[in-house]
Amino acid sequence: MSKCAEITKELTELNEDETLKLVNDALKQNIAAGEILKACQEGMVEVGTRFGNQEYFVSDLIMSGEILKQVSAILEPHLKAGSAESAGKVVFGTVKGDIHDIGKDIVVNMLKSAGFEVVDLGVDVPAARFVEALRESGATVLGLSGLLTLAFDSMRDTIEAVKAAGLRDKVRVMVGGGPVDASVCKSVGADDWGADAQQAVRLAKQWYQVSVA
Amino acid sequence: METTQELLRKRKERLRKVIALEKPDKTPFILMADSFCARHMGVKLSDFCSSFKVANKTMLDSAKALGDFEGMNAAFAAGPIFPLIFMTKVKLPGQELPADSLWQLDEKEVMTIEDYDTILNKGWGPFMVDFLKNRLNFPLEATMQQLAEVPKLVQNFEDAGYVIYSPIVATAVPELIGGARSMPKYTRDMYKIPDKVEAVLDVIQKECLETLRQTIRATKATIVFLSPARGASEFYSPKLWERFVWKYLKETADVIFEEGAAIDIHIDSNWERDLEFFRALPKGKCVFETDGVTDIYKIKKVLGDRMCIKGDVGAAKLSLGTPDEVYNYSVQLIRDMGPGFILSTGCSAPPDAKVENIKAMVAAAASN
Repeated sequence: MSKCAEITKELTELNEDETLKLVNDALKQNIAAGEILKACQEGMVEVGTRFGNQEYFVSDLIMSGEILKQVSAILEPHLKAGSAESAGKVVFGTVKGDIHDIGKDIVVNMLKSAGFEVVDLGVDVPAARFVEALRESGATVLGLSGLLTLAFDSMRDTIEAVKAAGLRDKVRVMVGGGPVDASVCKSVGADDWGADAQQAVRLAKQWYQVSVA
Repeated sequence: METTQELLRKRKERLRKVIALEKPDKTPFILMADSFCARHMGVKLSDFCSSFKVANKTMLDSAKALGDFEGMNAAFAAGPIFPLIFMTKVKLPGQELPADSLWQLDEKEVMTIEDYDTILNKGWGPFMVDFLKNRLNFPLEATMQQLAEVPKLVQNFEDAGYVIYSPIVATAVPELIGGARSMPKYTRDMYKIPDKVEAVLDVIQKECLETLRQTIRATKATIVFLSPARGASEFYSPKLWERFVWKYLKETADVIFEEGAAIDIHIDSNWERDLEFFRALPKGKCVFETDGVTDIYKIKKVLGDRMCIKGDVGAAKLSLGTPDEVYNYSVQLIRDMGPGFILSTGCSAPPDAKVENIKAMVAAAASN
């Protein structure tokens, strides 16, 4: 098995120590950081698939995210800017008035693992900041997260701000978080909603017309 | 016209019957709400959080304005005491947040990996006190003084004829470490150092269960509330769930039953995979209080012959739905769930729940 294939396997199995050792070994063997990162992303995709099949659960997504965070820190100095091929750009954040981030972070990790370039704006993000990020990045997918019902107004305000900025017809909007469902999606004016990270990835792929596995 | 004490007696008896799976005269409605009451009564959330007494008065005024129903889950606001339950800092309106914002947990990794050994070596009590006061800057003494007044706050509701459904709250021990470490770090700990995590949870559990026994005896509580807030099946593999969620839930439930009380298990998120486990709990001594994510019809199918079900009108429906939608959904639930059912909100009614929607629930229970 190649080193990269081993990395994919160990990350998929959520073996942190083995994954990190293999990543460091691969770097020492002059395997390109981009190839190593791709191997990790393939592991994350498999983690997502297992989650979709109900073999893995939220804690497995979190654990894989913790491993990926450490791998990214190791690889970052070795990665060339713009070396990774992007499936598309996504602006993501938890809306104004809401500071919850665990669900958002899981979705961001899975989107990155699926090859998307994600502009993660963090939490408590005002509408204007989302609009600014869309303009700066040229992203045509926007993800809004919120765990409180009070986030619904912020989601609505953000989508209105995107409209007022003349970007609404160019940008597809997905919403998600605890109380979000189809009625919330309709009420705030979003295009679709996701109950979990896999649905977010599926939507992003669909909207960027990437092959949906 | 009935006196408030006759109403209270009738409402308590109705709830007793429903929990014991006896047929009541009508379906009871228990409102789980605190911040909703502040908005209902036009009280700024910063003022609402300023003292238990202000929250208690606001909640009682809200109940009286809503009309004839059995009562509320609690007699004061939960938000300001979240650090005691989740070992996490809470941002409060008028302090870290704008004056009329809802409180929110500000979860960070505050407990370190080394702290596991501290707890093992020195016990939980001293660690928790030090953690709350010195790492979370929580006003522990002032809060404990206010908590000592809770029997009077409960009495205020009872004097008006309303039941306070679950005045006693048991500690869901995994939530303490989950909050203190932060969910991502605690999750990683379960994978990397599971034996140590379990050993620490066992130490904490032992201390908490002894306190729980004394509390039940001192208060003569008939229902004890337990909230394994991030214990849902959807969060964990079956093995992790059994080891780090069910074990502690079952042990706590057993102590509650031994002390002669019933347990109200507050179920957030999706527990469908593991519903069968709950059949091990004694018949007629449990309430499965669901927030609406676990399919209530599946709960009924698996557990309806053994335990009372409470719920599950959800936050989105209460905020965005119409009174007709809420009324119709509530009536359908009452009909489909049958005698062992308490109509309630799915978790705490959000502050922006429409008053008409809560009134629709009151009306649904009153006429069915």
